[in-house]
Amino acid sequence: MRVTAPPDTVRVTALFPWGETKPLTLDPRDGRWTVRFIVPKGTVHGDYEVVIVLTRADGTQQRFTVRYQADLEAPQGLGRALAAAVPGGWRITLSVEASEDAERVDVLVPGGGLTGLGRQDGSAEFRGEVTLAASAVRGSSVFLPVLITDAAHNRLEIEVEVELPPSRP
Amino acid sequence: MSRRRAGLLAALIVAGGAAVLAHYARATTRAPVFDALFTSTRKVTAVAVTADGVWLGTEGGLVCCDAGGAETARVTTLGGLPANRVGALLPLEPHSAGVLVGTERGAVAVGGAAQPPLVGRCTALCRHEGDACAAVGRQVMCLQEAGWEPLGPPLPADARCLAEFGGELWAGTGRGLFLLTDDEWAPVVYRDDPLAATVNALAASEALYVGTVGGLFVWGDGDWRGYTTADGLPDNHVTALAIGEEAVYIATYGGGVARLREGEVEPLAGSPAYATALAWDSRGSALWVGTEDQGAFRWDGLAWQPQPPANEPPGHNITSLATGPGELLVGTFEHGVATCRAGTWESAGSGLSSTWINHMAHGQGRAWARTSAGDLFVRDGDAWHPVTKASGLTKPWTSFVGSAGGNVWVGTWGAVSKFDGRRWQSYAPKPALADQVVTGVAVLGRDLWVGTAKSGLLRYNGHRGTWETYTLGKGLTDTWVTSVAAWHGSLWVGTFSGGLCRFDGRGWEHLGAPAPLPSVRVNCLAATDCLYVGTLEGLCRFDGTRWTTYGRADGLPSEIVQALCVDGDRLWVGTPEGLACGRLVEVKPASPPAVRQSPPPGPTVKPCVCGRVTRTCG
Repeated sequence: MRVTAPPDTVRVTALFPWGETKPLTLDPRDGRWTVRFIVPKGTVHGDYEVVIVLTRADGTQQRFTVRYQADLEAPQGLGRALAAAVPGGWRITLSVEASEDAERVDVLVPGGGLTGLGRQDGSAEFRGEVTLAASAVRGSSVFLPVLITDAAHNRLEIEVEVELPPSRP
Repeated sequence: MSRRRAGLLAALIVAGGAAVLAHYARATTRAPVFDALFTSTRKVTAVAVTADGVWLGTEGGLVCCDAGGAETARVTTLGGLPANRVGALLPLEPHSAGVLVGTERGAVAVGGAAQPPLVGRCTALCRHEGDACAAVGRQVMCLQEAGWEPLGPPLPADARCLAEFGGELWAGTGRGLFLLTDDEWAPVVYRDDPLAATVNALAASEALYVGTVGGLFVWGDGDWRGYTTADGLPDNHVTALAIGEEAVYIATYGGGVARLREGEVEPLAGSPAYATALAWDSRGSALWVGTEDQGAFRWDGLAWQPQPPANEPPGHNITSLATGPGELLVGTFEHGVATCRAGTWESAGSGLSSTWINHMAHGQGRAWARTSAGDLFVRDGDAWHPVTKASGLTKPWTSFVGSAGGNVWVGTWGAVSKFDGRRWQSYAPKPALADQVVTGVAVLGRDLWVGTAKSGLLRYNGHRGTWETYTLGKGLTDTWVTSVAAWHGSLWVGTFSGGLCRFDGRGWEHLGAPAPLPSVRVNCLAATDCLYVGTLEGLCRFDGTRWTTYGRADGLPSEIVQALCVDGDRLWVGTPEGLACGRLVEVKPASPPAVRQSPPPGPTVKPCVCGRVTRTCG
């Protein structure tokens, strides 16, 4: 946590929601006050407030709060897919509408490993194409596992069903 | 085990797994017995004076000193404390021996008659109507003949301090002062100011003293009086109070210690600035002051005598470990690097750009440290020197340093570099490693294995001269690899949320939670005659046939294992609450083998509706 304080600040203290108090130290490189902290294990998902107390040279105090989020929940998302027959298999176009916190979306292609979908500009939609070999599938449809991951590595796994048209030899 | 025998084992493992397991089951292995624990007692959170000495409650356990300050005993989780982080102390009986110790995980009696244990995060203790009272979160508990019983309803916020005044019980919280009356906690308002409502300390004599983040407030003769910097208080942030002879002592956070005598505040010159705890020793007429990071001080009215912590590491949040000839290298969160040579601890932070160390290694005759900022340092003499692009690295920012296959390996964004003692050689295969952050390296036979933070594992196949990717659907159960190790012919891969994966040269095996691992989050691995796996919920040992889990009941200070290191006949385990040392003693493995076989990894395609959630992990 980095805090910008007036030049006559002599002390900055952080009061954490779990009762711990820590002093901030002045970083001479950029003139900001900084402190590192570790959110205790067992903290539940949610928004938390850290109280920052500035002490000025004349002894007066200023109080303000800094909010942070303990991100422990997986992002959300829903996918759809369309398959087109190509020689030896199918070309599948995938589209996943993900929540704003999603950082990446990957699809697991049977026999083909993990393929990332690209985020569409300015939206929460991820799109991409993968190729599915005819030898990797039995039946007229397939369920593709899709992984939606946020920056904290919280992950949602969904399965997207794809109807497969008759393949071409 | 001789080197020849180990080599034969490794060859057998490559030749055939089943034969190896049968062979290995007959071998004698070693298991750790945790009988030493190293913590830092620099941060003092509570002080109490009893007939048998001065007790310092710290973030690294309980320290008992004689009246002169010489340490006479130290009690940690190894000695029965529920946790090393002490929150409050209370003499068991006035003028007798022993204290009640409130810790992060409960309260116990030390040095006196046994008391019923109290479970929960104990933040405050006091005596009320002759009985011990403890704050556990928002609930105040009272020690009765039948054990600990709730006293009053829950407070509106976690209690930070308790006191008895005027025959009644008072509780200080982050949301104000409360008085227990008619089985209700009644708010007591003395100033409309959120800083003054954050109550840190209470003390009672002929008046009630309330120490807050916004000043000191005194209730006496039916009136409140406030003291701030305008009244001579060295800082408004009061952390602790002690009733002394004809004075009340006031600890502040940043301004040192003051005393209030006959309505006048007088700062005590030379006192430690960040004072966190106080106790008055009436027999020795001395004031004991605990501090944020300097241990305790004793003031006899004339001079301040520091009581610096004895031989111990500078911090106890251990993030990384390595061993070199005759020394243990310890990386910490916020306290830099420490070394332990022949039982003597020394801080070794000179030259490092940050006190938060993520990786330590020893290789090619040198010690290496990587900071949280991504800076890499090598030790030369007693000083650390930066390793930069000019030294031969491909990028200024690094993500990993470790030793494998006799060389030092450094990971960065999109590349991994090897130092063989003379020169650096870098590998940046594209697209396999492009834009990937390297988290670990292992060498197995002619293959180089590289763990990444987002795309699983890369293998440089030494036979084919090609790079191959292993990720979800191709052996791994998570894309975030935290650690890799070669052990007995197999590659072992720890992941952030997918447990442990094993590659035996032919196929993958997945080992998850709740068995054989206690958690799917693997933090670190160490390979010796057994494989050790550090997880978020405990330490696991695999002897080739059987998994064993170690936790606090076995002598670890915490279940969170962040770093592992084997040094001859000792296993070092780094946790957020201290460094545990396990003596490795020989044990004969039981039979039959008890390896839990998990389902094969990879996509399990099951019929379901479109978009169905199959699994979340947070």
